[in-house]
Amino acid sequence: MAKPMRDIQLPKDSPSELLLQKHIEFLANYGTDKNDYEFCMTEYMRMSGMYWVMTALDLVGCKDRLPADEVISAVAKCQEDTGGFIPSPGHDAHILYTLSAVQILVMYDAVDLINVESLVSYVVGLQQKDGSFFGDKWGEVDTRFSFCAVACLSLVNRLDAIDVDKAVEFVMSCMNFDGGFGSRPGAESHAGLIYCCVAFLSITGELHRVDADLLGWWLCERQLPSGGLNGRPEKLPDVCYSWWVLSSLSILGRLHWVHKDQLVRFILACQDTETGGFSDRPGDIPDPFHTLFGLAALSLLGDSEKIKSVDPTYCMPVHALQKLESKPQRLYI
Amino acid sequence: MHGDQFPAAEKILSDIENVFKRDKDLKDFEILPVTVGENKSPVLHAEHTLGLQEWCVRHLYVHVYHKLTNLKQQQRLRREDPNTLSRLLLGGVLLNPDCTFLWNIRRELIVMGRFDLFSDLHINAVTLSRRPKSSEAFVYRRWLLSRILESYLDASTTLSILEEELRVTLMAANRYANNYHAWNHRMWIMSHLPQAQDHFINEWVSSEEWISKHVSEHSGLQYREYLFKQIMQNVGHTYFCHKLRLSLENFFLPLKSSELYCVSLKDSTPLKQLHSLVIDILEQKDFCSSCPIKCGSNPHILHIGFLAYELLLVTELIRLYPGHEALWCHRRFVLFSLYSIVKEINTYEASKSDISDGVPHPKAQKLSVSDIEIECNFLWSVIVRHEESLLEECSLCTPEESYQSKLAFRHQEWVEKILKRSGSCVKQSTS
Repeated sequence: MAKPMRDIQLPKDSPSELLLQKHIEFLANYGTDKNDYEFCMTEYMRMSGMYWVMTALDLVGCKDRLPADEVISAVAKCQEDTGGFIPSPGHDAHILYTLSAVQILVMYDAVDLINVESLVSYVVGLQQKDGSFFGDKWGEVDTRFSFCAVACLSLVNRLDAIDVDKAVEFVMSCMNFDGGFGSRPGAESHAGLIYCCVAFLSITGELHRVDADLLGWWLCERQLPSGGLNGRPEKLPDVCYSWWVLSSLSILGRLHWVHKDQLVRFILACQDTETGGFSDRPGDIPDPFHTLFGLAALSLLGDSEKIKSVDPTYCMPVHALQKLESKPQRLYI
Repeated sequence: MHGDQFPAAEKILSDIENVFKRDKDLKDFEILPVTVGENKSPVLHAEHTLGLQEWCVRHLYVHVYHKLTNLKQQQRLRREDPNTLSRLLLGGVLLNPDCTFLWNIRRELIVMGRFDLFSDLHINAVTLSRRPKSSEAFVYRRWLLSRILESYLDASTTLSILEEELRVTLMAANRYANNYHAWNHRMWIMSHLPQAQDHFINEWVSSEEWISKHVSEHSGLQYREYLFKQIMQNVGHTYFCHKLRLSLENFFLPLKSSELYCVSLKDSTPLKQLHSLVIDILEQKDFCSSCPIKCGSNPHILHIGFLAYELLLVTELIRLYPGHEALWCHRRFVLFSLYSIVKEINTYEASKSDISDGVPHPKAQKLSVSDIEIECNFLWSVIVRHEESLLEECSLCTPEESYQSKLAFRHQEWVEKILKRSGSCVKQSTS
């Protein structure tokens, strides 16, 4: 019995134009009408939520829809004495939220308001002998945390504080035969983790270690007949992989290897025509996470003049990265 | 709404806790679709399953969450009544296992010696029954296990830990397809538990049965690839060698009709040794040695034996179940591994033949192997035969199996364009 490919069919009445104004309203009002239960379920990642909302708004030129002073002071207050950031008062510091905080502050040009020295020592303290990074004091290791560490440090121009060679060695030990990367040595290749590792190597200037053709091949095979991209073989397409796969291809200089028009059609079909925002797949509930990655992917694809250009390594508007001393590396063919 | 506005909360939490106390073999947690509360407890317990009626979930979680965040912010967690705290945390992790903050409070209490490591493993397993792909729940599980592994464990405790971890990860893999975190956890256990290496072959055998029933399992197959690499590093002769003998015979069968069958190869090189070993297997020579493939006599035969077994297995699955990308991805792994052996053998041969009077030729130091040399390798010629016959078969697919022919075409392109490149990177510039 033959099995059809795992994919979706785009609904016939899917939106095919960018509903920009609706997305701006969706983002600017996000969270204001949340009930107590939803708030309590998601508060543990609030700092990242703020990063998704504000980056998306910045990309569409509406950063001023958020109260800058309030955001900056709320973020700055989340820095603990250890130097790390908590996602929300009462929660615990983690490198994931530390990166979100630093990204927000860089976009507001407000890094001066925090204790950069203690931030640096927090990140340095998470590095292990084998070059890997813990996510927090409890000791889980993951290539995501390696990316967060070098992204944080490079955004404050202090990449030299860690043992970069060891860090690179660890990330390379997570490369698989298919050219992809997983969360730890031997772990399955995964587009989200490939983005983390490729972006990590672009920050550390070690992209020559990637087999770009092999990896580019794998990444392009993520594109399904619906036009959407999945993150691993046999998974459904999802807008967030539009970002992770595309940004990796973009860093590797192989963005033109995907079918652009089909992907744009898929991303646009994931817009919610009533509330605004993007969801993972057409018809699902939109959220800021998929909205940022939908808009950022459209930016990389150069689909709309209304979206500013995004940096594929940092997932931040290019204009916000002017103060970086060393630019992330790219490959070209 | 503040937590105090749901007065039933403490009673419900205590009912949940009692189920855990009563049933040490509790396995599952489920939310039951009962949206209107009646005047009785929403907590049910049957067949080692804890059920909670849906109507109370929101109120209960909000109650737990506010209580715990208030205690934390006021730094009163340590002074709170241990029983109350324990009930709040139990409700919290059951309803939202992704929330790191809840597991972190448990970590603090474990460090203080107020919670028991093994009881927490049990609670964690029950949360995974409802949320089998919760990354945070698995992270916490590894943290508990790392602490347990710090102390000396007798063999029976180690074995029961291994059995429980294999059960939990299999349960999670069965409940959510391509479960990244579950398979990662299983790899972690097999790499970190003392004596786990004694179970690699058993895992290899049971994994075959599982993936044969889950042919879209890229993650499950990736675990098999992990096992293969571990077996190559850690295991020598096992009872499995008897199975490998038959696989090697079937795998090398195309050699019989090839001109490479009787070719005389240079003396005492690994290639020559391998060749005569293969001929012996094909000629069904009766071995006196205790191993039917003489796995100790050649560095590659065990390696090739496992890969031959795997290539034949994945060929059969691809034929039986057309249109499963995961199977073709796994085939790439097998081919990549075989190709690496071919290159390794050829590199050795090339460097050998470039030595005259004990001094290597300058070109030998390059250690590169051209495509032509690989084509001449008898092992590679057999691999190519297997690929050709499968692809030929797939070109005859019915229209309903068009996805299978698409996968076959992609496979062919991958072998031609990606696998057989002589250099690892094409020309590229960086900035």
